Amino acid sequence: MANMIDYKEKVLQVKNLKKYFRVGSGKRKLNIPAVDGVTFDIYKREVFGVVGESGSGKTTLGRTIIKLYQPTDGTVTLNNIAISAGILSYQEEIERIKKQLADDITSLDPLKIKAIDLRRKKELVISGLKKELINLEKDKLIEVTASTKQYDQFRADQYRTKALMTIDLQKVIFDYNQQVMKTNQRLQNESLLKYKNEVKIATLKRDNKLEGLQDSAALEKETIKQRIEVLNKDHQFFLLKLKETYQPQIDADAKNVLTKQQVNTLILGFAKDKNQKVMAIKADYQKQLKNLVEPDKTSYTKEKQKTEQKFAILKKEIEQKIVDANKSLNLEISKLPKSTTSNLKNPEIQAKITQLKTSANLKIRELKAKLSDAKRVNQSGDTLKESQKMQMIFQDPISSLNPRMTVKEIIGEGLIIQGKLSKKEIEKKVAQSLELVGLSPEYASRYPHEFSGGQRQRIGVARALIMDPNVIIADEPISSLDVSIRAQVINLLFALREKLGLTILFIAHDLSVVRFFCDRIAVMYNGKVVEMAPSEELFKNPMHPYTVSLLSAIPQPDPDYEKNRQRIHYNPRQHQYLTDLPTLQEIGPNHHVYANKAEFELMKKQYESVSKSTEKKGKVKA
Amino acid sequence: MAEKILEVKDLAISFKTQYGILQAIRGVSFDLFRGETLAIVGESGSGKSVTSRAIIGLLAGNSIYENGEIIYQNRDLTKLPEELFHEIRGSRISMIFQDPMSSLNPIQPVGQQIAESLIFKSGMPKDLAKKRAIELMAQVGITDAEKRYFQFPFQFSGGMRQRIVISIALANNAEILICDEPTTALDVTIQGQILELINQLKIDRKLSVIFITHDLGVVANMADRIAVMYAGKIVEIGKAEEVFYNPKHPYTWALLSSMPNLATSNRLDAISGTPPNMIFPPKGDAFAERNKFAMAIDFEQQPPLFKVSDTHYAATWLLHPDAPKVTLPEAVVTLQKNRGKIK
Repeated sequence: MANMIDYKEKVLQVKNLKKYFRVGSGKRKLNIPAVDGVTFDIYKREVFGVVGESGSGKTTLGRTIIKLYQPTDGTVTLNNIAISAGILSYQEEIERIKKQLADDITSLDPLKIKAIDLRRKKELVISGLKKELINLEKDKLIEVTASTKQYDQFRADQYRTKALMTIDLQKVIFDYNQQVMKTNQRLQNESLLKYKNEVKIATLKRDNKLEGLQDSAALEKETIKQRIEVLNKDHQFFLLKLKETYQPQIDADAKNVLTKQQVNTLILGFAKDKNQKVMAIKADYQKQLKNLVEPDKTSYTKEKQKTEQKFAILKKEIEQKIVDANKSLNLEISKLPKSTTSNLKNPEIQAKITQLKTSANLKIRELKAKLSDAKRVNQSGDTLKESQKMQMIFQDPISSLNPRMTVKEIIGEGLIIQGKLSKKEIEKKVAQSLELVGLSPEYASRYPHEFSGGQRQRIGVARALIMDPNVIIADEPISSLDVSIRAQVINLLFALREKLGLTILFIAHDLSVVRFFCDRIAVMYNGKVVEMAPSEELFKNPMHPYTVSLLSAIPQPDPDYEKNRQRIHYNPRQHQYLTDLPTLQEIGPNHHVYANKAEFELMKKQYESVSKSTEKKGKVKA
Repeated sequence: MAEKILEVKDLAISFKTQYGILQAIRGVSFDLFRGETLAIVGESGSGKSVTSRAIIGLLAGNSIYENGEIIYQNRDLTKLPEELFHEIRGSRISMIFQDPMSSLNPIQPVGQQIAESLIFKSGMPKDLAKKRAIELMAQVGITDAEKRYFQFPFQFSGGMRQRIVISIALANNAEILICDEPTTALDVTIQGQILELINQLKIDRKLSVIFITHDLGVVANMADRIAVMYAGKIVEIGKAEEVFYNPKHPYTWALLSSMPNLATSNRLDAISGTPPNMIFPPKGDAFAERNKFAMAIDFEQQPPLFKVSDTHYAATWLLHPDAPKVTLPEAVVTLQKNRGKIK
């Protein structure tokens, strides 16, 4: 299948794509990076898989590429035409230049720098002290709970014995109720009642038939008579049979029937028995309750008070420290000589400032021009036309189809909006695309609710195909389908890809499906692509620790394998990215990993050793 | 053999619907032993959820018990009145549902929801219940339990919410835990964590677990025994190894070959068609229409459960001594060959 891919032609190019969502307002306003700088190219007829957990930004990535969301930054290019672009990087650059300018100007004034340094120092000292306070509270909680532990244990024991007692009592009462119910039933002969009931029903049926026969005008009197005779005979025979079957049961039950007095005495006996049992259980548990020793309450309250006092003193000390630090540092700040504008009035400095300002303004003007270009890309008609060549299949086949539209309307909607084709032509195309996905064209006039889940997903595929797309973005097209139907839809996508030469961006969280279906896979974590490789390579030779942990988490339908499978944990804090910033680097042919320099060197060694060993194995086999 | 804790005997349940009477389960029998995990596998609509809901007495109002009994502690749960069911449901038999968001109260702190079950079910005093709830939260792996006691469900992630639901289910020391697709709404890594938690709790508390899912990977991980259901009947039941490495029913074969595992490279064998309409169940074997190996008798008569070994049974005419030999599907054969060696 890999030889189908045309590696010369890039169909979809995604460059540094970012999508931020704005959350909250006022002080709580936050920009959440859902997709944070994703770059990849997809070649013609390739199936490119994007995998990740929920919240990793894979769906947002798909929707941003197809322009359901406006990108914050970066560009998307389809068939060498830019179809959407973001403006954040330009804005950020402008902000940065402005800030740099302000910083440069202040750096010409040494007094201001000193004041800033002092303020920073003050903040550091005070926040450190406040942290100590928080730690103190935690320690206090631990010590206080430790002192009351014994007493809590006693109460828990007490409670447990009471609970056990109620359970035992309930059991006894349940048994008693059952016995009473059963003896009450013995007042009557149950089988006799059943028999009588059946006889009643049978005679009722016969009477109905008789009435019908007697009133009938269509039959002659002779035939009516004959039929009545037959009916009566049948009825008698049926009754006899009934009696035969029920008689032994009735006789057996008759021995069991008791009078009311007998029943009452029996029940009285049961009640006595029950009361005795209840008394015994209660006495037993009372003994157990008495055996529990209550610890001395006064001693632990004293201990608690002691620890509380101790911590109160410690707390006061730290609070005093904060006040002192505040005072002394404030004093230092106030002692600094005030910076005045006269410092900057020196003509040499003035000349420097104007120079800085003009160069900064020039840069800003250039950036603003680029920014408006990017804005124009998003609105122009040409890009809109081009982006029609990209279509989407959605996850949920139920909510992605409008229940009030017929299949014909749903599939043809894109063409109707386009307005190029006549009604007849559209109908023809709808029928064609229905056949393409394996549905009968007669279904066109039905509504979505008349179809099963798999068929609905086929309708979703047909809707995407009718626009003759180059690229299809499939956002978890099989996640919400049933097991047996999943395979049907995957096979359909396979067949379509071979038939139409589609390029597919396949978004999913099910790794075994992705391995099976995709040529290349990108693993996403927290809005970033952490690893990108051809699918066999990724599964054989995962480099990034997140990929390793993800692969180790897939359960396989093989009990022996499952018994030995060990899940590897991924801790995002294991990376040290403070000074050495990570980037996406190529570690092997077509294999990219997100790592910083130090990590990359380690990975490279590991990668080379692994690939050597596999080569050796290959040679031995050959 | 271990102690039998629950016994389902020939259970049949129908539902009244506007189109007629829908036969959801048609004669299901199995035993549950102490400390084992029984996985029930099948497509949606095969009756796995109805079986579990019948055990915990949570069937919808339009249900009819046609036949059979569920025996727990010498009582028949199908005939137990609602007042007496209260002392079993939640404290003896508990259930975890698929969607953790909709099974928690969104406007009550999660800790209180755990404590509530302790207070109402066994009359624990409030402060003790709170302490016990915090203990339980720590047990299911929630860090900073004391702080998180007062948080609301929306402040928890999906996996954490499922942990809360598990701690509520186990608050009253239940001995049977029914898990109705507890990880379908979760990610792979979180799913792994939750499965490990359930396995750990199962060993610690000697729980018996009924695990309902359609993910065969999860089944392989969890199950001691597996029951495969189709159209309201158990078509194959046996130990996990038996069902995976020596499957006998064509439906089990189809299930195994319709899911890609890390070793498949060819096209998938999809099961064609859809499950039958259970308002008008077919006369013969319900799977016959979608079955590649169907014989004439499959359309006429329902197959009985044939015995394969002491623990392994399957309902298919292929096991009849007169049946022709068939070649197994490729996926099943490779699974037997590569036993335990996928990678």
